[in-house]
Amino acid sequence: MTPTTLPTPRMIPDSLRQKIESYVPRYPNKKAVTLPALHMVHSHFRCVPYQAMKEIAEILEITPAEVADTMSFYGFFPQAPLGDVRVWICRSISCMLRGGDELLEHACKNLNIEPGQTTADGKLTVEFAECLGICDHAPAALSDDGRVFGPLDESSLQKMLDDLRKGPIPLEEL
Amino acid sequence: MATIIIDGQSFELPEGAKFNAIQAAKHFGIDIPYYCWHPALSVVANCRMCEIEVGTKDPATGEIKMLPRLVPGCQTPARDGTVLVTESAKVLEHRKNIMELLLINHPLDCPVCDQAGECGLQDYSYEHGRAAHRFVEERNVKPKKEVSDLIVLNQDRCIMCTRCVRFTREIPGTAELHVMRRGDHGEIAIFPDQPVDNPLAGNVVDLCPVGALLDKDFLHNQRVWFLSKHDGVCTGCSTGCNISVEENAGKVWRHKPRHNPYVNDYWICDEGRYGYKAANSPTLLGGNYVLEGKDHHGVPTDRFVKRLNETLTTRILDKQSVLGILSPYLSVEEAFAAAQWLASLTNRVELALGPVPVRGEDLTFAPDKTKGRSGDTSFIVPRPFTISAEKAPNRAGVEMMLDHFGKGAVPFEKALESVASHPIVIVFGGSPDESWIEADQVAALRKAEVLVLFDTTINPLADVADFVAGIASFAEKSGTYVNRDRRLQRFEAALPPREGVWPLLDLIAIVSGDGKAPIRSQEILKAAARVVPGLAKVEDGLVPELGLNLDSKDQPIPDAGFQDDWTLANVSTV
Ligand code: SF4
Ligand code: FES
Repeated sequence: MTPTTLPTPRMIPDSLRQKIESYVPRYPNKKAVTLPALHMVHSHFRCVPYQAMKEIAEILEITPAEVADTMSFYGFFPQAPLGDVRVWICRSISCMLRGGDELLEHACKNLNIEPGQTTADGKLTVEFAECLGICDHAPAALSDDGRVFGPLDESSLQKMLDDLRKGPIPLEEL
Repeated sequence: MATIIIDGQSFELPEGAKFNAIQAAKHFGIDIPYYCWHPALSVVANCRMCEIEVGTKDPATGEIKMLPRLVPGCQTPARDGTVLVTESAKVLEHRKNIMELLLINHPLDCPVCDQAGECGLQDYSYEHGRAAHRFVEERNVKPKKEVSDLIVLNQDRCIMCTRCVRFTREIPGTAELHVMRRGDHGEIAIFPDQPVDNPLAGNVVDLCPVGALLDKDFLHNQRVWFLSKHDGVCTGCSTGCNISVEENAGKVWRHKPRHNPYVNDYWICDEGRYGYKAANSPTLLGGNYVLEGKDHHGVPTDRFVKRLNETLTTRILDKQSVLGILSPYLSVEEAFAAAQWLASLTNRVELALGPVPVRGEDLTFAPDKTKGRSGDTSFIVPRPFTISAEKAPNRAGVEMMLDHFGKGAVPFEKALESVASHPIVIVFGGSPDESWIEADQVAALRKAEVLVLFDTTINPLADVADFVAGIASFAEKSGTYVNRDRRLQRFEAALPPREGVWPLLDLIAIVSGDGKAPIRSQEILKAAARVVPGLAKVEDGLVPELGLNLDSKDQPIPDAGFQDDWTLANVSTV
């Protein structure tokens, strides 16, 4: 068979593309829409892969390298899809002094993953955070559906993990 | 008049200058060390090397108020009443600390690093750093990667100054480089499969102050301290970029840009950068040749000249006329000497211009203060950079001679038509490209009864000419060119002429019996300026460092002489 060049399929659907474009008038220039666009793509795919960066660049008339620059500035945007729920366990000073590091280690051992990884069933991603800003709950954790946990100990940590594995809770239930 | 006080001394700032503290201090001979700042790029103040003590002097009371903390000089405007302290104990201690921080993860692999000898880290370690490394933790090891076919990035040597990133965004506007991640994890990177691919790409190697971005073409070829640098002018196009031609052991190893705000600012294009290769080409003519039967025979210069003169004299006494062709690759001096010699042979002489190669269209990069910029641009004077479609360095200069000695710039094609009426054709070439002439053009010229060629390469015309004299190549001669903006610029010879070959000026002196080799191009320019109207502004055969605008007066540029420390680092040669 002779190889044929196929058009590169687009990843960002038209509706999302339009949503990104609708943000342009709000900013002084197109480039400034990079961060909102990254957020929109991230909430759609739960990650920002290279192909999506390319397409964002195309929409905003900048280069993919410029999108990657902004994207990689934030630890928030992963390149591979996250689990259904993402949880950050804090290891900054207040939490660390109250056992944050140990809780993180405990959680990961329990789930058989390393910090930053997703469980084999794709349900939960565990990451560490540098200060969640909820030191009054130290040692604390935050899940990406908006739930705050803490102060945690081993048993409440276990309960948190079990809860999180049931899946994200819809916004209105918060 | 704006007065600035630097280390207790008052200086008058030049009119209209928008300097930062580094530029102002340098203007008065005081060096403030810097890495991330580049005069043509926006200020981001991220390396912190340039921090100094800054204050202001109250004009009414004369009281000096200093800021409590050190501030980056690159971001400090030099204004009336600005006070700078660049050598206090506090500043010196700070520089030590910054050097230590920048070197924390440095692999210290200078013995195998191309940058050694012209490295910002070496220079400042020596001047400002401390001798011992105190860091005992595990070092961060960063990868080595290719950012293009010609450029390698040794991330472990990078200091994250982001000069390279800002360059691609702000000058060519192609933005191929970016900062990937931040802080300790930061790296310079390209987007996968999108290499640094623009006509100015090589400049990122020059402006990288350390050995991170290196040119693969030069990699491990030479230690830089063995190179001798010669001020040259690029012959790749009619822009006439100012370059440093760097040579050792009879070979040119690289071209680097020299700063000229009226011409090329801090940059050169990649074509000019790698144009140095023609200087080492194996197809350069190695002597003088006479066609006997079907074969060319090499003859020593004295016999060559004797036979050439005999042939020309007999025919000219016979009232035969001459067609002289002058290549736009000749220097002003060469064109003058050649035209003068031809005119002295007979008054039956017609002069024409050699082929002027034109490729594509002029390509102008016109950075402005807003596009692609990511930091403070208040000190930048944006200057455009043009790669000319006209690929010869001196059409304008040669045309001046044609105007003066002949009937103006008769184009090559026109000249070919008139070969029939001129039994003698004398061609002065000089193009570094062996294919400068087409087969049908060769055939047209060969119709002459006597065909004489002075040229640098073995080319199709050399294959058939009756007399072929090898002459000094672009790297072996000195003189001047007139660029597209009618700026006269001087260039020095980087190499001695090849064995068995003379510079054209000397050869003409020998052939015409007029003057004694070696001929100094300055003397020829002086003579030319006396008679050629276009050169009237040249005084005593001298050309100012930044060239001479032949038509009008240059706009004064306050920072005209500012050479970025890292583009053309001064190496002490052994
Ligand atoms: S590669 Fe060179 S120019 Fe680019 S950030 Fe690193 S040190 Fe600076
Ligand atoms: S902070 Fe001023 S030169 Fe880097």
